[in-house]
Amino acid sequence: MQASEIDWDAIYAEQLPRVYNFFRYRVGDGPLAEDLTATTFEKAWRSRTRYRRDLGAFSTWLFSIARNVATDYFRKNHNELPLEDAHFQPDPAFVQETIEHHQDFAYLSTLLAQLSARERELIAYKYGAELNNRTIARLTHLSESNVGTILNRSVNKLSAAWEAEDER
Amino acid sequence: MNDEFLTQFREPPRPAFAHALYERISQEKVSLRAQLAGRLTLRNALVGFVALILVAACVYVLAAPKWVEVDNRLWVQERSSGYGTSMSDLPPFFFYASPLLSIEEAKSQACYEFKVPTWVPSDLYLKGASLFNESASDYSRAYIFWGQGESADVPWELAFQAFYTRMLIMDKYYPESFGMYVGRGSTKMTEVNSIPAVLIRGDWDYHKVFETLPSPDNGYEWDKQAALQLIWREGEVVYRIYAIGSPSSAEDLIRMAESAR
Repeated sequence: MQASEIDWDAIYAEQLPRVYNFFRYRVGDGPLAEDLTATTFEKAWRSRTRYRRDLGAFSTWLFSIARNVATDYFRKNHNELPLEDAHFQPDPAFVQETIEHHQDFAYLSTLLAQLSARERELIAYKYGAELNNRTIARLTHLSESNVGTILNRSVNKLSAAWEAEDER
Repeated sequence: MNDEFLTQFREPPRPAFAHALYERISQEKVSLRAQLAGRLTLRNALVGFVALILVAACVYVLAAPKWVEVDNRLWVQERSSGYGTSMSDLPPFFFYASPLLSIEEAKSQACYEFKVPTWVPSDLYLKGASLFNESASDYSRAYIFWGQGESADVPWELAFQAFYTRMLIMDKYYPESFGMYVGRGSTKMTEVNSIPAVLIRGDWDYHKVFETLPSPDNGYEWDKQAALQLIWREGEVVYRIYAIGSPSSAEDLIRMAESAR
């Protein structure tokens, strides 16, 4: 299949929510996720002739572009810290406020921000973009088992924090 | 793994955003298509032009006839057409002059020294020699002819030719060199008494020369059955042995050449 044979309307309808949610889980809710989603689709369209079906699924190709867009963004903004440098502690008052206002996703975002870049990226692929571990492994150049391990560790970490807040 | 709390936050993008992005990409589709059409036309033209030049250069390099140096100042050039062949390429029998001289007469009257074969195939008989010893002309040549039986019909089966190249101006590529156009795939390098030589199988179809003097418009065509030739050079003299329709083999021609004294 050539790039010219791809049904772009169908691709757009199917992949837009996945890319958008990938960025929501990656950078949080709001205009930034939309901007990065738009950038991803624009780049995908401009470089559509480079897509080769024999090298992988279209979604893998699209998310490799999304990954580059995210990497570019973080490189320019330096606002994603590795785990060992993460000193971010949510303001209890803010957390309380978000809970009170049922802004659960905003709260989840604060928890995600405490993860390492890699952990958060994998969470975004898995729960934002709904990619399976094999596809994530291809995108991140990790082994499938490594992806599973990191995801499991990250989810446990988030789950503990989430439940702790629930119990308050 | 309890991950339900992670999956509940997926939500579709805002319709306004999705619509605006779709519109933007759709417009880009049109403008990009238009741009690409324009660029590709120009680019294709350039690529085609460059490719044409490259192909032409490759064809020239690969297919253009090239002079091959057999020995110092002795050249052959294989080519598909005999157009432009010079007098030096013509079979020696074209220069048969009556009455014939003896070998001794030819040697004594020539303005240069040349060797003569002392061995020829046993079924060939000496017919005589011719000499073109015109110091005013561009070339000076000596010929010795052999034939089968008593036949006086020219051409005979075997001719020996000695060119004095000091007076030759037949090759613009190299002063005083001797060059011949021959058919493609007709040459085989060999030696005459350890001197580099070239065996040439065939000759241009010179019978046309009688029909369209001085040469056919489209040049001569190579006839592999026409002759067997051996050419080598010793000093200022280029020797050619030319055999037609005779039992002479390449080995015979080399043996004959190596017997020259």
